[in-house]
Amino acid sequence: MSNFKVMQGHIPLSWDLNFIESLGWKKFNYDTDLHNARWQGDSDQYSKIIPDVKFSVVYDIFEDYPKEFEFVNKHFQWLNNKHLVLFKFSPGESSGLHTDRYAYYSNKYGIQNDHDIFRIIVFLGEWKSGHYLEVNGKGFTNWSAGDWVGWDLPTPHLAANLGTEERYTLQITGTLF
Amino acid sequence: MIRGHIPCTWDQQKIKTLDYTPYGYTPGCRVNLTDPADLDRYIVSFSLVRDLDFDDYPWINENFTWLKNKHFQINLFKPGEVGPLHTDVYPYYTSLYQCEDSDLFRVIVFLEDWKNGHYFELENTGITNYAAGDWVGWDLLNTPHLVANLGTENRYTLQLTGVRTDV
Repeated sequence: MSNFKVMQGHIPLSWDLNFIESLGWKKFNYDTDLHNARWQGDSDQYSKIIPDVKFSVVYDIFEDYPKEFEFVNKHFQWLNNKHLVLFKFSPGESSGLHTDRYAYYSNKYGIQNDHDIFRIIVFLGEWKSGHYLEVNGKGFTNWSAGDWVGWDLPTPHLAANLGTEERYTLQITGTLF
Repeated sequence: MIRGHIPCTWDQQKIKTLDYTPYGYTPGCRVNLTDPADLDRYIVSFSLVRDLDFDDYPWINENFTWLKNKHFQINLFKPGEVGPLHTDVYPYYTSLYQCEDSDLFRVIVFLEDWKNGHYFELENTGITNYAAGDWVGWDLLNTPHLVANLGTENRYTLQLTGVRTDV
């Protein structure tokens, strides 16, 4: 695998999963969202692998960092321009192997060099059977709530829920100080 | 669950050229633990080769001397194919040898090095990043597991079933 920067850590559980579940989830939108990712392989191959990219997101509701997400600033002080998105993968939902483009983020924060951008996934719930994350050729399973994995651009990764229960994660995009 | 490793002495290219037959999932051979409503979300299928000759795969008997009445097949999961969480039973085998599913042991040998998106889970443990020759074994009855190929390359495994003689 290429020499991407991949980091791992753990933060104390300080959020209410019931609150997160109650948020206004909407389905990932192909037309407006797909340009933010670069799928591995050609599009025909991708369509064979995952017939539909299916998962749910909550965008842009944390501009003012409500108290439920104060832990982000506390534990990730080494990231600037933090942008948060919540993800929910229901059973059977997957994203294929891809890298991210950060077009929206770079434009919003005026980032000149994409290589300054770092992305973190915080696991909001305990690992459950069938929940999977793969980053730069390494599989992640059996995590605890509060574990996180971070990587720089353009590290290939995929996420999947092959199980029977919802998989919730918080995605933090920022720039390294 | 037990795990181990055997030397990779097989011809990986030959494995790829075998005559695989799409299998699907035969009712009565497995107990799905996934909500039926969710099964539609998966491409629930794989392909296999049965009726292979042990003489062409001498390494099976050489390495798994502690299993008797062995049956084996080679399984192929193409990109996108998934075997959702389930347990297995083996009515053909138990009828042939007049035994119970609780007597049976199953081994999966990974025939190639792990590749992106290849996922195996057994007893709530995710198994990835394996090397060709790594194997995992479990009591057939009541052991939940799942398989998925979320990557871009085929996934080949040997499935071996038998009765342990070492316990």
